[in-house]
Amino acid sequence: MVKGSFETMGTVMKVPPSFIVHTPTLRNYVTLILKHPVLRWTLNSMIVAVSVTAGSVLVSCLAGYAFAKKEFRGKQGLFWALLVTMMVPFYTILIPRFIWVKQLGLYNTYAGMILPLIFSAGSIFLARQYMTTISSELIDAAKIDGASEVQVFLYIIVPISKPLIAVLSIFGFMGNWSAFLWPLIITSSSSMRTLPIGIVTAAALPGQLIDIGVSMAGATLVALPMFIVFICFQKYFIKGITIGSIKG
Amino acid sequence: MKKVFVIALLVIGLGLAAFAADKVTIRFWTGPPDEVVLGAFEYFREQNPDIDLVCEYIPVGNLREKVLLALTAGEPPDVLYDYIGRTSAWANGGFLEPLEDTLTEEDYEDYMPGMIELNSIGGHFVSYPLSITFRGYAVNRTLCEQAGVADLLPTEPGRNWTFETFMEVANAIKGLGIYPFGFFAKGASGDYYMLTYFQMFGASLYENGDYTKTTLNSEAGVRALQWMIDMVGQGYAPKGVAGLADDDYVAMKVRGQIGMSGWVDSLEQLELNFKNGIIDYVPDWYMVSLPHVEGIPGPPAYMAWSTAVVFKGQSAEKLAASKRFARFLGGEEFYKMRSTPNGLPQCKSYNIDHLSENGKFQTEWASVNGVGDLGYASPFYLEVRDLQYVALQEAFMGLKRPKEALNDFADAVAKLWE
Amino acid sequence: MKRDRSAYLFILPAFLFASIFLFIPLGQGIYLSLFKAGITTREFVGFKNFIKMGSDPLFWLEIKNTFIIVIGLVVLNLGLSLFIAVAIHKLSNFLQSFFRFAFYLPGICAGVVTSMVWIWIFNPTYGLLNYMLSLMGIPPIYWLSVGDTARLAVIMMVCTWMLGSHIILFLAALNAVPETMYEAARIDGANAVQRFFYITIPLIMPMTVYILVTTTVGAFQIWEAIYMLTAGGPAYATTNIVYRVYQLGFSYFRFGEAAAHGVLLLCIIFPIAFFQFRYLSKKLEF
Repeated sequence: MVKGSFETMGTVMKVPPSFIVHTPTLRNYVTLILKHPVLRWTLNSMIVAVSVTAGSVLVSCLAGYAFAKKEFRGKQGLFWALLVTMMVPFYTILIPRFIWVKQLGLYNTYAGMILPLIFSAGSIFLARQYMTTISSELIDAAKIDGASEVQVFLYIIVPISKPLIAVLSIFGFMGNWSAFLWPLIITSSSSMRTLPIGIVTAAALPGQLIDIGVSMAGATLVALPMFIVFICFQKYFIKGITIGSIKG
Repeated sequence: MKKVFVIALLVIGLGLAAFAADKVTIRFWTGPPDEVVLGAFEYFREQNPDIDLVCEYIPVGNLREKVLLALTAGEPPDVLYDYIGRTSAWANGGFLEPLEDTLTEEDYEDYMPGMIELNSIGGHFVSYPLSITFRGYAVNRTLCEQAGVADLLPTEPGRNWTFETFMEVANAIKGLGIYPFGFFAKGASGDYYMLTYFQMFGASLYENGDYTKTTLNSEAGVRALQWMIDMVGQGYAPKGVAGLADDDYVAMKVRGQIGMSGWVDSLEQLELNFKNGIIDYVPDWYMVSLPHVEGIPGPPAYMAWSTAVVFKGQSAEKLAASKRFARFLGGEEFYKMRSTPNGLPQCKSYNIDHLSENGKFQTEWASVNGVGDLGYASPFYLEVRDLQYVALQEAFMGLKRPKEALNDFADAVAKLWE
Repeated sequence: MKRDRSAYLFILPAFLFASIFLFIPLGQGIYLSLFKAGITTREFVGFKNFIKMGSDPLFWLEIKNTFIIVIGLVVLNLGLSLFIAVAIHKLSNFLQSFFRFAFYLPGICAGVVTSMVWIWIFNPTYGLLNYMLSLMGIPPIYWLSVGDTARLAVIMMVCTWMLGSHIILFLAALNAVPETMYEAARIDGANAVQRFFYITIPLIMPMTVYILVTTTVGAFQIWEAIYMLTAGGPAYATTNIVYRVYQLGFSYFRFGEAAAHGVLLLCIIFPIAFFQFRYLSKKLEF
């Protein structure tokens, strides 16, 4: 069943619901691109996804390292304070967050779309888990050699955490590239909107129908960069990257 | 020389500023438009050069959320064009500007009977209706011809028929191996459809505009629900009603798997499917009046429409401009520009030459029988709708007997008003 | 406890963002549960919302539904993803990459496409699932029309969504276990099963904890799947706490009550996640 769903998704992406491939046509793509600012939308999605992912990876690695390898007062409490943010329904936060972000003057801006999404408790959690498997001896040795905190982080932790960074990047990009709700809420002009939102507006026909062809074409466009990103980061998953990573 | 240049710039700048100051900016939100509608907006801009119309298009599924958020932040749009089911919520919340001062004596006469009342909340007329779709009853005439019962179908005038004839046609279609009708009780949209079947037995959701009490659990209502359940059991309609939504139902309809139906606005989809080879023929949908059992008066026309509304809290200048635009949306010019073959007019005086035969029939019926009350104006419209569907689900799933389900529904509705 | 002052600097950026964009709205959101709140109205009612919530006949059903979905999802998802990851782990790099890619696919197909496809899959008359079942001689199941199967449908759908990323994560963790460990164990005479339980499991425990906790927390928060597939039905069978929050807040504008449900959810999830983490992390100390 699981495999079946993969195949289905693949077929449905290219084909009208009857699952017979009709004469393939580029008409949908042409319609989409000519009549709508698809390029701008893609650019926006790119800006948002890349910024959020980069910021998120950085913030998460920093915090994850601290929670994993450092001892400090309030560590437990602070860690759980962060995790608590995952435990409240999104809709409970939505309205206050919207009003607040608007008050900050970030309505219809890139900052408004990007900043709230950077913090991800899940990423910090994952970073922490991963980094607990890093050998403490390595860090101690470096410190004895006179390395500063920053140096330890940049030259030891980061290289060892390549698989982690790869994972965070992929999932981060995936989530933020197709982000729909928040960018929709926080923008008011078509020129600020991201690709997934743009596709939905483009595929609308009178009478609440959807032009399936255009919708599919759009969906493919949205999926494409995610394929590419994934393929790029695949190499970090290859068996064998074990540079002193396991304790003991 | 430089001084003169600077002064000249200042003068021009001031001039432009003054000119710009003449333009009133109104923010307008609606769902993504098609070519025709975009053209209409342009036309309005040309006709009203003193208004700067700024449009924002939001996917229909998110429109409600966005307006809600805007309201919580205290900055709603100036004009909104959206479905009545959603705009009535804003009206009930007291966010909409009353519009009755824009109506003339003729208007009161001209609007479809019941339209003004259904667009008034709290004693004020608050929304201009437009884009009306009719939820009467339609029969796939092609199938009837195949089954040899096309002659049983009602004809002009009035296209009236009895419940008995209706069942005869249904039996014939069933004989062809196709479901005569279908019910759905899953999702919250398409509420008018199931209510149509209740109406056939004489039961309606509310009576006389009293929203504090539902009348769906009347004897007629129980009878109607029981009939529907029996129909499913006897194979007249697809099983699994509690899990089917209007989308599933439309999907079956456009594949020619259901013979009779509550509305025909999926005609465009039918054409599309025919073009793509998904179905072999485009059914000839024939609108008829609602079949009804003995002793029931002529049922009203259930309709769904969109509205153009104006939000409160604008300056006098903006308000005037907003009202002008909203009036335009709700007026005859815009109606003429859209001229879809089944788009009913909101006023009786509008020209309907462009309408299909079905469209003309619907207009006639609505003008005479008036618009049915689906409870849009109730402050608890959505809650009631959800509760209604739960009751239907429970009945179709066999969890409760129809009478029990409907009575519980009535109790729940009453509780909302406490 | 040794005090590593630099730690505070490291966690500063995270807390900065969290405070501004999460803690503040969170606080406001939770605070709202003490009010009877409409769109722009507010009236202090103390704990009335909680009392109303507790006496609602829907209350226990919501909780029951939530737990059924959570347990079902966690067990199914964790078991399946671990199993598949271990199976793939033995294969060559190339094949691994291929499968990784294949499982990544569903995660990409989001939005309109997904909802249409999944509703079609569960359709009783012409859906994919019943078609496959009919091939095995099983009569059609009315997935979304019956409470139990509707919940199962939600679980299945969300499971496939999460499967891809979890498999990838497990694979990454499995790949990080050095061969030398297995070698040493083999030399010592340990068989495959022993190697699995005494080496593999403990060494991928950090990852397992992560996946377990996030899946659990995520399962409590499922909303979009329900909205798309069942609209909380049939007869409230798939209405969980989060869905009720949405319904009360965004459909009925009863924001105070919605917030009360949010607090309820927090109070349920926190102890569970906390103890999951504690218990399993303790096992890690070796």
